Amino acid sequence: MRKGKLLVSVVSILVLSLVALPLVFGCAEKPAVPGKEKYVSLLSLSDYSGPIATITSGGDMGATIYMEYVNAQGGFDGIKMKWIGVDTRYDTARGISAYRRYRTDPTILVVIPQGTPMVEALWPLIQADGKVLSLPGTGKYAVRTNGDWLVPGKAYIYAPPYQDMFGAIVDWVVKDWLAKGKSGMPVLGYYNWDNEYGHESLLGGKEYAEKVGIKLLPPEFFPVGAVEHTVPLTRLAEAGANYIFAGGVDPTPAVTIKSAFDLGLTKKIQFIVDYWGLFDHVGGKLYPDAVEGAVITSCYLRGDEGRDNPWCKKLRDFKGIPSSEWTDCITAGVGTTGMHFASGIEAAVKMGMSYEKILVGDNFLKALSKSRDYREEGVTGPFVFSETNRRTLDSVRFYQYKNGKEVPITDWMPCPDTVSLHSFR
Amino acid sequence: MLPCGTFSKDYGEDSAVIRTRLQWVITITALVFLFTIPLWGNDYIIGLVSYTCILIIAVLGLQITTGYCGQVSLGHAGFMAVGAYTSALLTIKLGLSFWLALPMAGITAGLSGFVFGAPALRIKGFYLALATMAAHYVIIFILMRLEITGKTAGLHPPPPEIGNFALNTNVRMSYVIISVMVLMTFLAKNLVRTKAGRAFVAIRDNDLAAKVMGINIYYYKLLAFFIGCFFAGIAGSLLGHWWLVITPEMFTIPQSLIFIGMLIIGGMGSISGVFFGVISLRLLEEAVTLFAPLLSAAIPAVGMDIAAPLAGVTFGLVIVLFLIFEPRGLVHRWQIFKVAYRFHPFSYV
Repeated sequence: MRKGKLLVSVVSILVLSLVALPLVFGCAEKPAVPGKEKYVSLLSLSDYSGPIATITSGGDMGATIYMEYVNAQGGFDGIKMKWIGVDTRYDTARGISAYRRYRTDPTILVVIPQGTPMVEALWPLIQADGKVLSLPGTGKYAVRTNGDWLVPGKAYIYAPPYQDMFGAIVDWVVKDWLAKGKSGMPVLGYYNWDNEYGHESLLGGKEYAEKVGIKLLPPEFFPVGAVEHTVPLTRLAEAGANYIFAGGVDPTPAVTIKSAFDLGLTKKIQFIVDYWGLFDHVGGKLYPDAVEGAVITSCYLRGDEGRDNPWCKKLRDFKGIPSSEWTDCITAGVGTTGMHFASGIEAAVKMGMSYEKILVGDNFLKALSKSRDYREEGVTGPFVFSETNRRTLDSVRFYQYKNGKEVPITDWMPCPDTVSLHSFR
Repeated sequence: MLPCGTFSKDYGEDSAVIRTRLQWVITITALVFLFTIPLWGNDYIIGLVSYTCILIIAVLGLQITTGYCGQVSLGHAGFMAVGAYTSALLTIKLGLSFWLALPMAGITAGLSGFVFGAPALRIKGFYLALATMAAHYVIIFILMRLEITGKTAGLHPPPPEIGNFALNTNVRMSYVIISVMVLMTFLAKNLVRTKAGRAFVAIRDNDLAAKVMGINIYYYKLLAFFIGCFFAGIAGSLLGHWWLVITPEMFTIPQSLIFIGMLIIGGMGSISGVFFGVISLRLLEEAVTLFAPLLSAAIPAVGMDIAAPLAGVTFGLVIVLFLIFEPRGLVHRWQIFKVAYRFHPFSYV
């Protein structure tokens, strides 16, 4: 009886603690900005344990390392950067709850919701708070109609929109087809996640493929997490695909290509993946034989090119990270989320803005548009953000797995503006 | 079990849900506390309470279907999606008021539950669980393919309005959500005390014996699905008009599994169990999301490698511990506690 009562008491106390703590934290006043150190923060509503954890956990690490390095040099005129990463597990509800917890922090300037449905749900809240939204590649945010944004507000896209990327893939496919001495036009298959991200590339990309004259097969989609790809891949092969775009975040494209490899399809069909596919430490490591010859479309340096980039080398030495542990995802985080944010603050400081002015979203974007004058290029292609172009990057580089390594096969190729070919509602 | 010295002298007293003066005081205090949260809570707390109320409505429905009638449903999030999209389409395409669209969303979701619950007439247990999971996939597949539902991009339902007054803020919408939650709880609590509720329990305990006793198990099984999905549809509609966006990715299989987890932790076959389960799991999630970055900052060598899967591990561990040590859920512990203090010092439990 006493043991039972003790158990009840212990459980009750635990339950009450669980109840009280989030309420205490939720109700607590946010700490005031420290008097001596000035911080500008970036809130990443990330995914560290869900379907896109591979890229976001590594990417966030890269951005954090870059910010720590800059802060260690004294920041920009004493103004330092802070990365706040929250694991939302790609769930919209968790993302919204996390944003509501942090929205009153006055130092948060930029918010990155990792996940397209989260972007849609948080857009009105972020705009109402005067903050800037940074998103990976959702095309409709890049669209301007009659001089105004289709989706008005403060935002920048930290990678080329997915449909622009697909347009670049179409261009490369045609070039590769002709370089191989083939006649006519190649047949391109599309195989991606059955969600908004997976369909995004076709919103403009499909129109561009028709415009170029390439034959785009009816797209095949699969649920996130599916491991069996035999049937749809066979269908694409039997439809005559010469190239297949295999989307999804690694290890998804790696598993897809492995299925194709087991079917013998990789010998006759060229597989192409997007920015978030076939990372050296994931897909490249899991199935080195299967991914041999696969082509990667990237908006940042990959493989040894990324590791040996002067900036990445500097950061590796700063953190004491051996070359073998520096992954593609970390390079992605440095070059996209980290450097874009930092360059905006650096430009704002050089333009003479005070700390309080930098924390205003419009001022930050104005500075970001001028940041190309101060930016050191290298980890990504040319920086193109301006007051009339929300894209920060508009070029990609193609790599190919050769002897287990990601080897560049093109220089930075401009992405065609395929977003404007689609009529968004 | 009533407190010592409390006796029912007529049928009205015997059937009352809130029986004693203390219970009335607690109920009124709780309602006042709930409805005043938007006045003193910050945006985070209001959002947390609103989302918890929506989950309570959804899980109340699942409690009726699974907890009371014993029909396992792993597609409950899919039926929420049906309600959300119905409500959005009625308000966007037909220009109907939210106040009309809300019950219609529930009815549509209920009818879809009627359709997908038909397998329950022939199969049960694990097989029924799979059939309801398949229902979820079918629903989401359809929503992703139709132009009218916006395909993968989803829809943007408008905020509810009362005349020209738009309920387009967190605070205003929280009053609607809390009110609907109180109403649905009242409905659920009374439903389980009716003839239908008793029939559900009889079917859950032994459907063959129930059939022999003259209960039309086919009718009541379908009714359980209808009612459960009605609740899910209401929850989905509220969610859509609060967030002002609905996409198919908002309604996932893991969400349905979390609902089942809430039932296990709270206690199956009890309306109070829904509250225990939903509130404790929501707070656990928030606590883990809060502590994971602190843990990773405190132990940099490990970093997010440990902190990242913490939520999933914690959720699974809690479910397993409850199934082993307290399969009747938190509500059973609460009942033991109530008996202990009510019959003190004679509570020999």
